[in-house]
Amino acid sequence: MAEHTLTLGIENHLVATFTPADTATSSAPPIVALLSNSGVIPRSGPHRMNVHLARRLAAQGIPSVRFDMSGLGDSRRTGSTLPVVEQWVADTRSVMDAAQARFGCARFMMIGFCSGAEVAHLVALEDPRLRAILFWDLYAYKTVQTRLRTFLYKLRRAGLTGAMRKAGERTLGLFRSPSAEGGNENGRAVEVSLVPPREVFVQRIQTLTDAGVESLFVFCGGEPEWFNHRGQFKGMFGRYAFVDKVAFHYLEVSDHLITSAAAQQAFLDMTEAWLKTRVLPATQVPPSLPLGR
Amino acid sequence: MDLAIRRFGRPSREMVGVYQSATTGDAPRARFLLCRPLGQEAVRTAAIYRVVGERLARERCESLRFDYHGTGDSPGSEEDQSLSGWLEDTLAAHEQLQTDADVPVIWFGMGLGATLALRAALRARKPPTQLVLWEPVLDGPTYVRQLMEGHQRELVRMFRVPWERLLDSGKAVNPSLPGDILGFHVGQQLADELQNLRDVQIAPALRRGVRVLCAVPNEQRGQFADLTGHPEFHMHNIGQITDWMSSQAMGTAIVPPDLLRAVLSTLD
Repeated sequence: MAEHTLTLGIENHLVATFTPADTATSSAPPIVALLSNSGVIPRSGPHRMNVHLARRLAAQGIPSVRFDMSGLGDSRRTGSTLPVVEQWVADTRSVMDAAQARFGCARFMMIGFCSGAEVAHLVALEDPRLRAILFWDLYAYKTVQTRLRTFLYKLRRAGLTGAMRKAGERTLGLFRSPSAEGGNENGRAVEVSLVPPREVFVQRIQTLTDAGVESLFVFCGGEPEWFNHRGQFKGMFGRYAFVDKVAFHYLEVSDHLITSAAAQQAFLDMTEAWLKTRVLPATQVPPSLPLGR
Repeated sequence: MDLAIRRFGRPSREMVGVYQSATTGDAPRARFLLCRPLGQEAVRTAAIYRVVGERLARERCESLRFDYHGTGDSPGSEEDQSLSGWLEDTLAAHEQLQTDADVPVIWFGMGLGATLALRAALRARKPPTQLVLWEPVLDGPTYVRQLMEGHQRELVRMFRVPWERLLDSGKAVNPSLPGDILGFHVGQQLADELQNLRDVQIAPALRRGVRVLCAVPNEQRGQFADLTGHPEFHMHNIGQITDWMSSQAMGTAIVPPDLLRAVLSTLD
């Protein structure tokens, strides 16, 4: 496998590794995979998952490029004054330009781990070349059942005495200034920015779905206060039109960083199955609606 | 501040490195080889290596940071690796920097990367002028035990349930070597070499004329008592200990300020 690592971008500040398909053909590949950072994890991915993905995809005839966004991994910050997430969107599009020139394909899929998923959906809203996204542990919104399960989880963890103490503290907190709590109603931030309101996010995904972008939402089993049961996805989005047009998987065996060998294998198998059943068939269909600026 | 990619090593042991030039075009003051630790520690310290490279560039120094074969972004499979292979990789990376006899070459390593650098310095045809060893692994069995404990601690923290419940649920298995630990596969040869890694010797490097700066927590200083007073050996006491095996605060990039000072002190 002849991988090539090079620098690219208008300031030559991005470091990216291109992996061609294992078997060379005269025709362009059906799609190119984009693999990038998760938080501050370098382009090799959580526990080198992007390297494993690149090899697995290459065996399926899919080239890929794994890259560090500005200020992450080996890539330098730019002189740009763009907000960081906007810069990462621009970085991703620069990488797509380079990959298109190299592989001769203008269709892309992106495996977005956590903050990478946030960047991925913003790229897709701007750039119609991004045709499929795997969202790993992206935004979650609490449902009644989620809150109940979170409460039971905390009760089990803290025991009855601890839970009563916390309840007491919480009651006292009602008399404090709301800003003193500093919490986010929707739960944790996705490492880079706060979770957008549900209606905003739903509108974005609906736009992508209407344009024929394939989406796979995956949540790990290691976030009991964030996403804690299989039914939560339907609970969050069941009343919206897009939900029947996207794929969802609850990878309960895995933690957020896909640490165990079993989790890594399950993630690779799941991604390959999605590629074969949803992504590749969709490459035969032209985009439904124009996207981008 | 230019970046250039270096692909080097034997065809069967290729590696990828990032070469960072100085910000000015003048002759460099020094060239630095930046040796990463392994596994989760390499992930956690990635930002340090970029920041050190950028800081050195502003000091008119060049640097090469690289992934050993079978790690990070380099080709190769994790399960086929060994300390002896990575030692050869370190020497191959060193050759990338030996283009000008007048420019001193300095090595910086963290964790197991520091230990590998120390060993490689004894083998290099022309050794580095200085070594900066940050928290070197001093005892293999202790390191293996820390990896095992770190593996359990990490999964318990990530899943937020006790280890026994993780085992019962099938979400975890007890770590063992060879095997998967902290998300990376350790093969038989590496497992054996780690278990036999003992007696990290700095004196032979000093005898080769290499100046050594060793940064360790206070409780490890005693292991270097016999070197106290040696004019080319310097100790640095690490005040703030960071668990580089943990992904805790994974959304933040930690660069200890005293680490940067220690690296830059080699230019004095």
